[in-house]
Amino acid sequence: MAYKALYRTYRPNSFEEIAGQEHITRTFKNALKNNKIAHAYLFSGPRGTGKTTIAKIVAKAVNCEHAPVSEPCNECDICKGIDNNSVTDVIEIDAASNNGVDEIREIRDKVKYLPGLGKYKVYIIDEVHMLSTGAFNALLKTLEEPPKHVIFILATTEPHKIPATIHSRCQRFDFRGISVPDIISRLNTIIEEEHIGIETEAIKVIAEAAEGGMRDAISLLDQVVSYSDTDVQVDDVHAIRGTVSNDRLLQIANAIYKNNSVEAITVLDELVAIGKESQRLVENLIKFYRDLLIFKNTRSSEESQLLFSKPEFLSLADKASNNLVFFYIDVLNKARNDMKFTNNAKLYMELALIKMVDKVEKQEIVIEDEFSSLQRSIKALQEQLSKVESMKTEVKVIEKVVEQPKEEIVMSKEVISEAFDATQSFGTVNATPEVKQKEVVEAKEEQSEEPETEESSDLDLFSLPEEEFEEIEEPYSTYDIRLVEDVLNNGDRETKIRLNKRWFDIERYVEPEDLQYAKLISSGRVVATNGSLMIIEYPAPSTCNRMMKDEIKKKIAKLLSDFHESELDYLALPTEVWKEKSGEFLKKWKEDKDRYITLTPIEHPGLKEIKTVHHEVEDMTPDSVREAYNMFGKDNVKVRKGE
Amino acid sequence: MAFEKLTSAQPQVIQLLENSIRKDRLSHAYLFEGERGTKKFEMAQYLAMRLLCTSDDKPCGECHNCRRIKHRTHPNVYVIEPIKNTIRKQQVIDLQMEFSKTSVEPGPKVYIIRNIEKINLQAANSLLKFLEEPTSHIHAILTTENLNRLLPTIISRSQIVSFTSVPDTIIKEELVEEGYPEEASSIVSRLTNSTTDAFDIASGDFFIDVVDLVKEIYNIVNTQEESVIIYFQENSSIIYQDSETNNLFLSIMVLYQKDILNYYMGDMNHIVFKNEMNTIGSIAKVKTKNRLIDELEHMLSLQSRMNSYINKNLAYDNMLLSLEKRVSNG
Ligand SMILES: [Zn+2]
Ligand SMILES: [Zn+2]
Repeated sequence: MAYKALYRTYRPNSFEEIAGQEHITRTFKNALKNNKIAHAYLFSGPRGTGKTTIAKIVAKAVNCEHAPVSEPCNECDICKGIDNNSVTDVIEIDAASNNGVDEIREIRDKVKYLPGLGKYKVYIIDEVHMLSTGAFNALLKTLEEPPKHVIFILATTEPHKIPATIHSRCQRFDFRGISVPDIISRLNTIIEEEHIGIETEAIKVIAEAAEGGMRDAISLLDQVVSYSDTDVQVDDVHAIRGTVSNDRLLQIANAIYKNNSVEAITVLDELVAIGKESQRLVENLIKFYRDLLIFKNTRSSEESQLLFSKPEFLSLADKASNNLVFFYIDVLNKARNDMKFTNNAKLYMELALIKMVDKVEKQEIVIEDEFSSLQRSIKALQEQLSKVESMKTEVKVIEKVVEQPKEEIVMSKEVISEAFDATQSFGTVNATPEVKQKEVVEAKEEQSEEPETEESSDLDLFSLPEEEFEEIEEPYSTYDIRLVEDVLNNGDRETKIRLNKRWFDIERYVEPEDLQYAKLISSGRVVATNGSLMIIEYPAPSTCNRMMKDEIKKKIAKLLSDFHESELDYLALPTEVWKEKSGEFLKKWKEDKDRYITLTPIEHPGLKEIKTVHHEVEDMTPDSVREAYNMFGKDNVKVRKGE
Repeated sequence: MAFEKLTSAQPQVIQLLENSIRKDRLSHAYLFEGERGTKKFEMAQYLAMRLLCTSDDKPCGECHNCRRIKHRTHPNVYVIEPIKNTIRKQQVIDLQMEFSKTSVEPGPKVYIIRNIEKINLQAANSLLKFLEEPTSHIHAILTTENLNRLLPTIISRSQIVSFTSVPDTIIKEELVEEGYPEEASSIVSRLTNSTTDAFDIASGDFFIDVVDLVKEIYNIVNTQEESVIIYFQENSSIIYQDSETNNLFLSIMVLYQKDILNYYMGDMNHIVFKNEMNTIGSIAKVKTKNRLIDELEHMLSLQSRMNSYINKNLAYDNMLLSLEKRVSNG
C-alpha cells in the first residue's frame, strides 16, 4: 500500500478543524448559515496557511445536501464526491501550470452551464497571480457578470501581483501565518492519533521552524518520523532541516567568548562532517546572537524560545556586552554576504570565527564599554553639579567657548583613539583620526576630576528668563527630547516585543534594491515604542544621523510600516544617549509615578541638527573643534586657550 | 560495503530512506535537492536497487537486478534526462507507456527524472497527473540543483530531501583512493564541495603547475632572496591561460595564506600544505594576525572581483607587494 502523506490525511474537513484563521472561518460560517455567499473571493497569504483547504470546505458547504449549513456534513454523496474529486461542479485549477488564456476561456465558455449535482459551480484557482495578462482579462470578463450559480475562489501567495480590476471584484481574505502554539496543538492531535513517539522539545522546534505554515509543519513532522531510528529527538529535526542545534551554537559562542577560535573551528569541523552547511551555520549563529541581544535587553520570558531556558545561554547573556554582540553580528553578517559569491563558504566561516576572537578589536570594545560607563558617571556628576549651579553658569560657559579665538585640541590618552577604532569596527564611522598620540597632552583622570564647566566667567550676556527659552524652542527638531518623552510616557511593551520578534526578518522581506535599508534597520533594535513612534538604538551616532536624514527616514519608515503592517515612525538614538535618557526617565518616574515625565534635552556631539537654543550657540564653534567633537565625542575633547 | 562512499557523503539521506522502508513510510515521490556533485543520482539508483535487489543484504549492488539498474537496462527503472536542456511532454508520455507495457517485470517500478527544473509546462502537466494518482508500486525520484526554479505544484506533491555538500574529508579520501597525491587531494578538497568538480580540478592540465607557482611565491616571500614581483612576471604565464586557471591560482593562494594564519593561531591540524611547514612557520613569525587577515581578505576580494579587473598584472603586483612586508618594516 502506498504511504499517504500526513498532511493529506490530516487535511481539515471542517472550519472547526482549521488552525489559526478564526477571523476567516467565523465569517464564512455565518455567511453560509445565512446563505449570503459572494460570487468571487480572493484568498491571500503565505503558503501552507489553509487557503485551498478553506476553499474546498466552502465548495462542499455550499453544495452539501443539507445546505444551508455552516459546516459541510462530509457524509452526503456530494460532500464525499467533492472529497474524491468525482463531482465535476468543483473545478480546481492550478495557475502555476495553466497560465494560458485557453484554460480561462474554457472556463468562460462552460461557466454558463448549470451545475450537475450541487447548487453551485465552484472554481478554485490556485496561485492565481501566475495567470498571464490575457488570461486575467478573460477571467475579468467572467467576473464582471458571474452567473448566479458560480463561485470563484482565487488563491494567491502574492496578492500585489493581481490587477486592481480583479481585486475590486472580489471579497478579500488575508490569511495569516499560523502561530507557534496553534501549530503545536494541531501537531499534538496528529501525534496522538498516529501514536508517534516524539520529544516535546522536538515538537516545538518543528513548530518554530515551520514559520507559520501548517503544511510545512506537518510535512516536517512526517519526514522526521520517517527519519528517526526510534522516538523523534530534537537532533532528528535538525538533521532533516540541516540546522544547527542550540547546544552546538552555544558551544561555538562560548568558545568565541573565551577567545578560543581553534575550539570554535573544531566544532565547525564536526558540524560540517555531519553535513551542516556553512551558509546555514552562519544564519543560525546570527539568529543566535540576535536572540541573545533581544534577551539581554528585553528579558522576555513570555513567548520564550527554547534557547532562553538554557543556563549557558543565560550566563552568556550576562557576560557579553551589547557592543560585543553587535561586533559579532557585524563580522558574521559580512561573512554571510561574502559566502554568496564563493564556492568556499567554509573558509569564510573559519575566517569569521578567527575575526570574532580578534583580541585587539575585542579589547577596544571592552575599553569602549568601560569608557562609556565612565562617561555616564561623569554625566551624572555634571548633572548633580548643574543642579547646584544656576542656569546662568551654563550659558556663560558656552559663551566662553565661542569667545576663544585660538584653540588646541586636547584629549585623553589612547583610550579615546581606541574607543574610536572600536566604533569604526561597526563600519559606521568613516573618518580616520589624524591626531597622533604624541599630541596627547592631558590624561584621562584629570577629565574625570574636573567637569568641563570648571572655568566660569562672570559674563552674563546670555542670561535670559526661562520662559523665553521655551518660546524659541517651539518647532520639533531632529532629536527633540519631547519625542522621547512621548514614547517613554506612553510605552507599549506588547508592541515592542512584537516588533522585536520579527525585527531582523525584514532583510528577507525587502526587494533587493532596498536591502541596504533593511540592513541598516536590522543593525539596530527597538528599545521603546508608544505603538507608532519607535526609538531605535544604534551603537554609533553616525548611524543615527544616517537614519534621521530626511529622505532615508521616509524610505525606512515606509519599509517598516509595510513590513510590520502598521503606521510606524522612529527616532534613532545612539546607545549612550538611550542609556542616559532611559535612566533619567526611570529615576524621575520612581520619584513620581503619576506625572508626565519631562527630560533634559538630548546633547550628543555626534548627532547632527539638534535645533535647540543650546545648539545654536554651540554651532558657532570653529570647524576644527566641531570635527574633533564628531570624531571623538564632545566629552573627550577639551578646548583650551592658545599660548 | 558497496555504498560506503554514498553513506558517508549523505548519511542523513540514507538514514531517511532506510528508516522509511523499515517503517513502511516510503513516500511515492521524492524530490532530491542539492548542489552539483552531491550524489543525487547515485542515491536515486541506490533507492531503486534497495527496492528491487534480490539479495539478503539489500542493496547488494551485484545481483542481476542491481547490475541492470547500474547499467540503466532494468525495465522497471526508467530514467528521464533533459534533451537539449528541456524535458518535454513526449518524454513523460513515453514513461507512462513504458510502465504500462507487459515487458515490465513484477515488483516496484521507479522513475528518475534528473534536473526536473528543466521540465516545460506541458510536460509538467502530464507529470503532475501522474504524481497526483500515486499507484502503490510506482516510485518517483526527481532531482534538482535549483529548488527555487521549480513549480510550486511539483514541490508540494513530493517529499523534499536535501543533499548537503560533501565534506572535504570525504572528497579528499576519494581523490587519494583514485591515486592522487596526498597534498594535491587536500588542496582540491578545500576548493570545492562537489566530487564531480573535485576530479575535474585535480586532473586539470595546470593544477600541479599552479600549486608549484604558489609554493614558490611564498618561498621567495620567506627567503626574500629575489623580488617576488619579478619572479612572478617571469613565471606566471600559465595563470593567464583562461579565467578558470586564474581563479584556481587565487584560490590556492588563499589556501596557503590561510595556512599561515592557522599556524599563527596554533591550529596545526588545519594546515593543508603540510610539506611547507617550515616556510609557513617562518612567515607566520614575521607577521601580525591582523596583517595576515588583511592579506587574506585582500586576496578574497581580488578573487570575487577578478573578472572586472582590466589590469590583472597590476592587481597581482599589489597583492605580492603586500605579502613581502614584514612586521619590522611596516
Ligand atoms: Zn454534505
Ligand atoms: Zn542486489
